[in-house]
Amino acid sequence: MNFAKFCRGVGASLFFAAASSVPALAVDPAAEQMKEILSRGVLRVGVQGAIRPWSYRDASGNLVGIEPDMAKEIAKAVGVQLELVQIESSNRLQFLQQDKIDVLVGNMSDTPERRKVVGIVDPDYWASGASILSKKGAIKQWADLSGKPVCAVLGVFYIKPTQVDTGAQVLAFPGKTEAAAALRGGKCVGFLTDDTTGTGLLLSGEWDDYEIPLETKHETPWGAAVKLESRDGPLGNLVSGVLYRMIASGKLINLAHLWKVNPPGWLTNASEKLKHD
Amino acid sequence: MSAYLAALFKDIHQKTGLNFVYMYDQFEYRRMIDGVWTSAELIVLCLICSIIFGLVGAAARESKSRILFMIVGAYVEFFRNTPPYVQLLFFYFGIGSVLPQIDMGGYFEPLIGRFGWAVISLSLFGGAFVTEIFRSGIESVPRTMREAAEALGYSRIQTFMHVVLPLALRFCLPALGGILISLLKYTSLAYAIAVPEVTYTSQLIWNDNFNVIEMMITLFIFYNLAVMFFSLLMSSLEKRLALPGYG
Repeated sequence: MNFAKFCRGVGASLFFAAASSVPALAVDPAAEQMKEILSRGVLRVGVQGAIRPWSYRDASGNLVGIEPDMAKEIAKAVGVQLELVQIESSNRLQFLQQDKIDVLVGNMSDTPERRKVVGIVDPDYWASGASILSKKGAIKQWADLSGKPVCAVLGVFYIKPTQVDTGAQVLAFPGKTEAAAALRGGKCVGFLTDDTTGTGLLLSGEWDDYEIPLETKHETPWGAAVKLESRDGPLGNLVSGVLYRMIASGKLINLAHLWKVNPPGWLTNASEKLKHD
Repeated sequence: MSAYLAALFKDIHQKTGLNFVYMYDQFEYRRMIDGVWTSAELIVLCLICSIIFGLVGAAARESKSRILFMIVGAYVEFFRNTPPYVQLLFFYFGIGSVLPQIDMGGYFEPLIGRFGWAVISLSLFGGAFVTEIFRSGIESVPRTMREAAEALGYSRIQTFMHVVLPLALRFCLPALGGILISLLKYTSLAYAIAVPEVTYTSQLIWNDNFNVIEMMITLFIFYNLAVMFFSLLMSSLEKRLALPGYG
């Protein structure tokens, strides 16, 4: 008697469990996310807070720069309000995974490891690499570095290639501050650093006698990202489309000029490739 | 680089994953050997200079001149009370930029290079401690010895050179050995001003090859060997100088 009741109970609960899980499996998380964004009326985009001029806070505390401008384009395409969320390089992937932001446009290099954990959308939108910050007129081409002291920061991957390719004598310091101080003190002819750092220093207003005279080497592209499950869904495809149009129409290059940065060679090439006569 | 060793370490890398890359890659081998040599030079020069600074400092403290005494006192305090890392940065970036330098078009060739500043800064740091150790040695020479020397007609300087110093040196040898070993290890700080010594080159190598553990092991072996060699030197010196009746 008791046993029969137990069996019936188990049978019924198994049935309900099965019945309720079938429609749940059919729900597409990517589509759900898009619906949620539309009903919320707000697209949350993660951007950096202190990387000038890509994304930083202006005098009144607002997040401005190339990446916030790109975020505006994306929100416009979705047709909702934009909310910028400041992220750090160390937590940006977690912000995406934990649904704290919908899209990430955060100075992030596109690497195979990152592609495994977040949905980096194609096309990439920018590229950065090694360049030289030096006194105006001191050097004109990479070959000019031959035999001369060049400052750098310990730990960057382009020290050895630069030594081998140009014959420069690289002095690597433990931190950016020391390397920059060494350049200012005239201890080296240039500061071998990524062009993002170099541009940031130039724009800080304290390096007016300096320039970035050489074309960037060893460029790695930057990618925007959505959640991994959303990459091939509506949001991922939408971001893809916006980036594609911004590159093809030259809008992104215009943004670079507007924010007074040289568009990387990678971007100019990409833009050229997508252009129709 | 011997072909046999190169093949052996390549094999070790393939079989165990331990990548002692400088044993088979010509570029990294050059870096490593240069680093070891630079370290060796740095260590030898720093040890010699700090002993000289210490001797001069201790002699000045013994002199009757009040001004000399105060100058040495200030020197010892300054260098003992600040970290050697900060001193290195101060000398290289601070004083190095004020000294005259030759314009090379876009950069300056300084009077004293990074290696020079590392030797100066670390030797001054070590010298401050050595001064104090020599002073303790001098103070432990019994007063009666000096009085006896004076009674024999020795002048002040003669007493110092022929009686006090030889005894003081023997008294302070163990403490001196300890402080010089510390100084030997502090030479690794020179990486902060990009002196290509062994710590610096190891960092360059592990940055390019992702073999941090292997390079750490290498560094441990290098400094251990250096200290072991130096300790042997000191203990044989102690034995040679030992006086019967004086511990």
